[in-house]
Amino acid sequence: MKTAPLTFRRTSLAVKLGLMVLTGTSLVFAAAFFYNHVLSRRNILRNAETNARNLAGATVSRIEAVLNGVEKTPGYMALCLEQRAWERADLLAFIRNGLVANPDIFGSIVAFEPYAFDPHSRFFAPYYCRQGADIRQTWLGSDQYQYFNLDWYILPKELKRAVWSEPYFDEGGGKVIMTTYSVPFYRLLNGQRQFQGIVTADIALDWLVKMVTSVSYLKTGFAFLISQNGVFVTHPDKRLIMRESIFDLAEGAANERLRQVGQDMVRGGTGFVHLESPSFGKPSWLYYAPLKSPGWSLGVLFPEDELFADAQRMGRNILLIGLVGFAGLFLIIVLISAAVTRPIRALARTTAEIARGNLEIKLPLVKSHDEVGELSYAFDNMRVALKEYIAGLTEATAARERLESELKIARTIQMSFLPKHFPPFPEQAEFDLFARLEPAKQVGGDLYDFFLLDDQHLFFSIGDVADKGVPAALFMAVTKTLMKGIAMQGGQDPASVLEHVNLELCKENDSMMFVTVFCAMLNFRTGELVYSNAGHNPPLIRRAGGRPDDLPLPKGIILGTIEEARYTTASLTLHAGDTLVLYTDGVTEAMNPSQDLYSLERLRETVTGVSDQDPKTMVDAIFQSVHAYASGAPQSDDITVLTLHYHG
Amino acid sequence: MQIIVKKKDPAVIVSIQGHFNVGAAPEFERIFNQHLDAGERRFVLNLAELTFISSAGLCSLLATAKKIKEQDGNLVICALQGEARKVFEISGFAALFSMYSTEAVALKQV
Amino acid sequence: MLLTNAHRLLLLVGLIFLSGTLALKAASADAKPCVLVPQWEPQAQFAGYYVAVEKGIYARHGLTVTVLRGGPDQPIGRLLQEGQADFATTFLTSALEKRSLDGLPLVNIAQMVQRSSLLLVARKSSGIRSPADLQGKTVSLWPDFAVQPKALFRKFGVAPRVLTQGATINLFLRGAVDAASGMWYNEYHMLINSGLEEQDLTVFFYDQFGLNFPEDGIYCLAPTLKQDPDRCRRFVQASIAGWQYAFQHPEEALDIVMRQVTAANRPTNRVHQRWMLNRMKDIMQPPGALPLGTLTEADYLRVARELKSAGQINTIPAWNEFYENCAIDIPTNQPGR
Repeated sequence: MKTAPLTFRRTSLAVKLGLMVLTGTSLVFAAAFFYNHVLSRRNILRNAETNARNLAGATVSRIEAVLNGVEKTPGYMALCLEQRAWERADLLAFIRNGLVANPDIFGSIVAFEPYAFDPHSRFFAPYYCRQGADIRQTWLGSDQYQYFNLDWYILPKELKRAVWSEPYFDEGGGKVIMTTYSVPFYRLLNGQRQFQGIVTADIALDWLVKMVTSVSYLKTGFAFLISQNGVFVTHPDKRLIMRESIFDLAEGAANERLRQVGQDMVRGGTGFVHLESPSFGKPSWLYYAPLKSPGWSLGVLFPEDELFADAQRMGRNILLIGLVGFAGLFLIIVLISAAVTRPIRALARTTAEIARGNLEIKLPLVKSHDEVGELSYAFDNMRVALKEYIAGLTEATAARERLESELKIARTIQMSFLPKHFPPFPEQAEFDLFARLEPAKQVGGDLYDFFLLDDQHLFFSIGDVADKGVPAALFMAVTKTLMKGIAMQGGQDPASVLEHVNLELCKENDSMMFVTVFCAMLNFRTGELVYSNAGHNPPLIRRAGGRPDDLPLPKGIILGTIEEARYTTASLTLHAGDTLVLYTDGVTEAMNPSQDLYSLERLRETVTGVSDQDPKTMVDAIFQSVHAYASGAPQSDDITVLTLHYHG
Repeated sequence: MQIIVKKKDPAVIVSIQGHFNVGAAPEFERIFNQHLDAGERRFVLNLAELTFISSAGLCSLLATAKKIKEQDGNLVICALQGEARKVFEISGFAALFSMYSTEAVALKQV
Repeated sequence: MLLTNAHRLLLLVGLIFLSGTLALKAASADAKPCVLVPQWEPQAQFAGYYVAVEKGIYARHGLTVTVLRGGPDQPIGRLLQEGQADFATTFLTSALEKRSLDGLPLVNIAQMVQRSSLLLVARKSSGIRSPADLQGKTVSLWPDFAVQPKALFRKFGVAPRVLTQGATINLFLRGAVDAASGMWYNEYHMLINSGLEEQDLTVFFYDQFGLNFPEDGIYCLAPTLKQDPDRCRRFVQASIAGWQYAFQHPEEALDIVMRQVTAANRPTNRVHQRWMLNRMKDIMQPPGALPLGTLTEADYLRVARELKSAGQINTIPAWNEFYENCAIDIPTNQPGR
């Protein structure tokens, strides 16, 4: 089940189209087939009922014709017996003549009530019957044979009407089924119509058995006759005859429906019913009609499958033709749609190739100017655009990667040149110093430095190279190295250091790189600070307990541009508790998302807000404030802060 | 940043509005290169509306000025004021350029 | 005739005894021949006996049993008397009547059917719901089995018009009578399988009205029992085993019955015989019944008294003379009667 929808999705358009068309036509075909099936079934059933009715009707008529003929003789005899008292000889001749006149009659009795014919004789029942071509006469009635209690006598007597007996086997124990028609006769005695006896006519039913047995319908359908008690008089299954009733059959097969049908049959009903027949062991149809005078019932039973055999064969053939037709139709549809979708499939293959990254592949040439052609054209345009775009993207990516690796190198150079060990001079109690450089992503070039010149002089500086990438980093490194080298030679004031550095930097500086530098020397024994500036932002000085102010700076041009540039040294004295804050413009020019500058004012406020004398606390506070202000806006320049606290 | 260029004999007047930082530098240099290639040699840089210039901006300006000078051209600056002027002074740039208070004066001197 | 035959038998017994008990024992060690005549034509009413023959149950009990075809032409009295049969089955009432009227020394050696199968059936549409409703109705009765219905009529003080019922139930089926006699295992089923519905019928079982007459029992003549009580016991016990087998294997028993039925060309069928076998089980082993073979003196006396008061018998045979339960063994050290 899991793979089924997948499979369907993968099914080609041609097959899908074929299936859809096929489903539609199949539905129409099925509807027509079903309609035809139902209608023809109904017609067949109607015809079958008509045929069965005709068949049963004809058989019933033929049987009743015979039975009615038989009925006439004892009926007439009973009438005659009522008219007058009969002489013995006359009566015997009368009975005999009745037999002679009606060859269908096998035997005949005129049986009287006790002492009714002969006041001296309890039994008077002369019986004539055929024996071969002869007619023999015997007397019935004895203590052992009290005919008064036998069905043929007592039934018509009690019911006061003529009665056909239940069929029975003949007395001789032969195989002939007989039945007896008994007619009561009466006499007017003392003004009352009194029962006198019974006239009977026995008939053999072999002709009837033959007639009913000869009836056949369809292939195995047959007719059968049941008596008023439901007992089979004729049936193709000889074992049932005179042994089993239709109700026994129903009970044996646990077939309640058959029992109900049997009840309707013995009640004299007519019907055409569908039932599970024990005789066929499959669904069957039964038409039944009564033989009115004896109260028997004739049934014509046939299996349903035979009835519908032709229709089923036809249905099968139609279905077969339909299936073959549909298979053909499906094939044609698939072929046609395959032809239509071939360019699409080619396109699909090509685009799959494109999707795998092969943008060089040529799209299949579609000559048609239909939708498929347009699609193909559009795909080719897409391919070309994609190719160009990818080429551009590859180039850009390479450039960015190059730049990024360059920046990384630059940052590594820059950072590796900075002293990062804090506190740097733990043995010097006169001052504390802390510095931090936070590189921007693109711009590198800030620098700071500090070192002891001797046991009472600290040199410290801050600077900013105005360029980016590796050149700036190298320039920064050069600047720092020069500055330290020159300062370490000793005997030079900051202005002199700057002039020397400037001179060195201006050599071979074709790229017009420059650096701003502020440098200072602190005699930490005395607090005397000398400093000089090359275009750098003025550091802040916070006197103990006061507000920060810009350190007054002498003018001085940036390093690396003009060889003959001159710098001036300024000086002042630091007192215990004074703090110097050196910074680059990365601090004051940090921007928030709406591109407003952090500004010197904010820096001043921040510096004012820090009462702690630990320079690290000051640096942290400044960075924290700047970050908070930037609120995630990208940092465009290095941010560097160096703080010195003088303890005196 | 916005750069407005207008031709006013005998020079090309380039006005910069807003921030001049690292992001603006390439456009700034491209404009000057374009006019240098077109044969222009005299330029007036009107910085009346410059609100901020970063070290990268200064670098770009210096590089451009040097290129113009190499091609025997001349670049003058006018109407610099406020914070930007302070930056020029602190960095010593003020000493590197001819600076005039108005565009009209600058046009005469260029 | 009877006396002569009895004497002959006695003489024969004497001769056998004379010839020596060893010889007798040898004969019994082989298989003793027995002939059974049931009171009616082959049907499931006698299934146990046919089964006992076919399944070799009699043989295992040391008997070679022949079951004769019963029926109106084979009256059990005559066959027993003439020595053509050793054992017979018959109704308790019939046995009493034969003993009383024909002087036949019948002895009940096992009472098989404990509960009356005889019933009276009526159509509910005739308005008959209780025996009291039979007043003024027409009822057909078998002359041979009229004692119970007539006792019922007396009990309920009704006097229906009574017709003699013949071999069929057509009087009832055709509506000539309002009620008819029938055997539960036979006619009642024929009615149902002539298309009548059980819910449309009112059925009176006589045991519901204190008129239960035990029916089929196994009988022999007194001398037969006296001469070889061991054979009688074996026969009864094997017959009971036959019945038990039949009830446990009804379809196999039906196969056997149907073979008998077919051989006798009886107009019946397996469905009907199945019904009959099931009803035989019901009336031979009704809930709370005594073991097969048992006849209680109370039942015996009730039946006998009803027969006497109906004038069917003149005297009531002594209980001890009439009944000897051969279904139970008597220790061998105690001499039989």
